[in-house]
Amino acid sequence: MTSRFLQLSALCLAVLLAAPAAQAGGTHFLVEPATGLTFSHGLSLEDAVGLEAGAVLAVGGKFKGFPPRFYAYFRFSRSLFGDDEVYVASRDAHGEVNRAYSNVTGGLRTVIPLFWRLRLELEFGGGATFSQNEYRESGLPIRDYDETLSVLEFGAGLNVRLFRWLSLGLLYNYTLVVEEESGDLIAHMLGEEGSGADLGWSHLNLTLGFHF
Amino acid sequence: MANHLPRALRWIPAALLTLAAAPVQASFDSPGQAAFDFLADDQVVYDSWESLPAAELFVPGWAEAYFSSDASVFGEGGAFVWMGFALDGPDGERYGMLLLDLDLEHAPFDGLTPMPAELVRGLYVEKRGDQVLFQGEPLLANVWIVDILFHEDDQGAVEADFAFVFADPQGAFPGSRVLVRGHVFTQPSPAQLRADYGIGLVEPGEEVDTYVDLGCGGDVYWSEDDDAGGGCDCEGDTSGDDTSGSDSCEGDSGSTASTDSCEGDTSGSSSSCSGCEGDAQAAAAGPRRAGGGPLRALQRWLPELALLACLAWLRRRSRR
Repeated sequence: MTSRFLQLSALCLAVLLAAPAAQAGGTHFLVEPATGLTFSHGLSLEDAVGLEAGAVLAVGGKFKGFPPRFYAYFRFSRSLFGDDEVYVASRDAHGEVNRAYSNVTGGLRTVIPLFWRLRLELEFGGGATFSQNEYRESGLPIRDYDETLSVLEFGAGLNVRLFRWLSLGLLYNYTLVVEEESGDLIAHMLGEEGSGADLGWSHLNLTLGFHF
Repeated sequence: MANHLPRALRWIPAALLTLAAAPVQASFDSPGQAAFDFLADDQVVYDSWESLPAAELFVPGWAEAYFSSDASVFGEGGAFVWMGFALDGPDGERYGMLLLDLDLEHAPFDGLTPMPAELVRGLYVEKRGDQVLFQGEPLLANVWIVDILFHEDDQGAVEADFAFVFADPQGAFPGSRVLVRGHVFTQPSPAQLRADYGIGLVEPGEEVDTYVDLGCGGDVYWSEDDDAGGGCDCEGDTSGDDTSGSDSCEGDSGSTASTDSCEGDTSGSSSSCSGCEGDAQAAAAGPRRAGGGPLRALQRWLPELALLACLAWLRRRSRR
């Protein structure tokens, strides 16, 4: 584990040192709408793929003579997993689950020029995920509840700076819940493996960055 | 003085925000277990406790449970409790679900006084597949809170006894369903947490304001106004003075006195066995500690810090 971490660190350092100067001129502000897919982890019976949309606001710059750029970012995104019919094996019944997650996170984004106008983006941040959950089943009243979860997120992506003011990218983020959870009511009612105690989400988004 | 008033007023939002963000003293988000005696009668509606048939006609039942404050109509101070269990009916297998919503913040905690009716909401549903075979609301209801530990986050624990008679007020489903000598508790149970963290017992009838504070490293359970406990144990060992109470329940020291039967399903009164079987399982899983650390602390105080910084900036700007 330690050696793998060292290898990864060495690789990152090598990329940082070898990074060529950015092709586009420097800007300090970024507004980056994004849309894509969210994949939930830790809920074995429910639909694992949801839709996501959001945006990043960022401010940053670079040190003189050091190609990578650093941005402090703020992200808001919303993921929808809607109208998911689930078969509940324990009682041979069907339930319908609706979940939505609003994510508010912030952190540091490092943009490393690779070649031409291609750049590697690395992110690390934290914040909160606000989940909205709804469950329907015949004979039961609709049960809905909200929950706030503290999360960490890690991201990596590729980005092409098409113009000085515009970039296009593909970004992968992984969000994990950092507080210890005993489970989730709906997951428990459905009899899901692990009862939703270990939640995490992968986000794959197309991004369109406006630089100014 | 009047000139200074507007500037002084600028600090009021910060103070209000700080007050508004005070920690909530109750929250549950935990699995659990329940045991009870069950009777299904498709003809008779039992409208008084005295009219219930002899105990021999009841069958012991066991249910998995889940406690959620987030899903409670009573908010953070309440707990929605879902219990589900399989039943063997005369016409095949059924699945029963007992849904309770309890206002725990205002409940008596002595294990002897039943919760007032307005603090308890209940629904019982019996199904086969997607077909509803019975649905009833409480005709008679008693819930006794045997022991409780509130928590600022969602690591609270509660243990309760219950007795219900459910009937359909519309009459679409005839008869009634009776669940008596019921016992439900979170995992880990309050008794388990008391044993593990050395939190003292609450004697029946003793007036306490029991809650959990994160004042001891942010990860232990603590009962205020409780002189018997000897304080919280930040090391997390099990050296608490938690030795009274039960005859044969290992690590189980519920606040009620008598615990003769440890089967967890057939004891006769509200002060029944505190769920030895479940506590043994909880012990194996170990108590959960509250999540926390710098991120949580930052998240907790971020609004106040941001507002104070903003106000300081405004004040500095107004001086120029």
